[in-house]
Amino acid sequence: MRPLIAVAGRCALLAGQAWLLAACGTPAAQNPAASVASPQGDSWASIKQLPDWSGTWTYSMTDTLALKVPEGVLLDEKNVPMQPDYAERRAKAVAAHAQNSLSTCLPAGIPGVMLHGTLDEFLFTPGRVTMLVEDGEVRRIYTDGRPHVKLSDLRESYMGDSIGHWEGQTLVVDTIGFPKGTLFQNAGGEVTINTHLVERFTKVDADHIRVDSTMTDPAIFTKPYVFTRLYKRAPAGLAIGEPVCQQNNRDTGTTMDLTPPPED
Amino acid sequence: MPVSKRFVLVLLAATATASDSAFAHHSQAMFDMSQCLSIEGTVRTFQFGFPHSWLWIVVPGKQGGEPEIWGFESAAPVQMMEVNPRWKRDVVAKGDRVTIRYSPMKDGRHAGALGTLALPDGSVLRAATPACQKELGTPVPATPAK
Repeated sequence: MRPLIAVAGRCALLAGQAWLLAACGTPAAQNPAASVASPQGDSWASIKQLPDWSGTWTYSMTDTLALKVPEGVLLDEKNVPMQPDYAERRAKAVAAHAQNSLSTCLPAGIPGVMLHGTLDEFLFTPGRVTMLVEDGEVRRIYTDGRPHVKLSDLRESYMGDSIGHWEGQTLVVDTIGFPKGTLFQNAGGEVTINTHLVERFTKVDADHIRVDSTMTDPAIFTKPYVFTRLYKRAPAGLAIGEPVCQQNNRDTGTTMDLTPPPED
Repeated sequence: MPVSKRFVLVLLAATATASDSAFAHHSQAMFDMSQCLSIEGTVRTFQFGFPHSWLWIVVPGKQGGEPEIWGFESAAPVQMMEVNPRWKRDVVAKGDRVTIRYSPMKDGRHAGALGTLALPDGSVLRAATPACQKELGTPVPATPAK
């Protein structure tokens, strides 16, 4: 029953906001039986029953576009149900090349990190799924049944507070606590303290993990924003590297530093 | 899923309005993506890295002036390799004579967003940027989607 308790706990936490509650309760409420029966990876024995996500993965825009579904980047902006005033502010920020957290090499955080063209890997340990992002960012997704941190207790972070549970072969991740300044796309508008994201990670074939996401925030969206992305297995032999944004970032936020590097 | 010609056209249409997010960690607003220019030079340095790869070439000075150093921005290595697996850190070497198509900086400085790189052996590699889209189309994956 642990997963159900976890879901109930975080929904109670968010119950003051009906629109949040609706999104929060959706995945488990639709499929409570699967939730109860599914191995939750709370022990090494249980982890053996979870799908094999070993290897390295990278977001694939091209494979995602082939699905012909909203994919959650600026490419299909017309599919983003943005509030008109938010859309206007965002367009102005993009056009002005406004300095943002990414161009200054701060962590992308959630949700932007899921669009990185870097490699990702997943580690399963009892009670937790950890997503390591090649640029050094780490997503800790707690699957031990704990509720979300109270909004009043949230510390500033880039990854927010992610609580997960397994529904069969699908990892459902519920994230709140987005920090001020994090971008909901990789340019322009920012998320708010009320932004809420539910992601369903499923390995759909040997080489793809599909993530179906629902993002809600009444200040940004007119209705829940639903999108899907595919992450594909990285080419064989391509190990996780150590790309450091500060190493060669030439965007100062207002201009480009065009100082050539030392000659080879 | 086999990639039919029709699918490629749909893909191109879908990405014709591609903005920066899928390619870059920062805005591409400093580049004039409506222009596509060509330049020849010799390779000075290739930075195959993060957050963007940069190719630096030396171009003869105009009217016998000092040689000019030009820099061209592309994407991170994994994104580039998705478009063409030939992108590697040693795809070019210092002194290689290359021809580049690019979208220039709006402020006129000696830099641009890399569209294609023509290698000494004559092969042309598309870079993973939204540069020169009208002329070159959108970068598409070398490996078709499954």
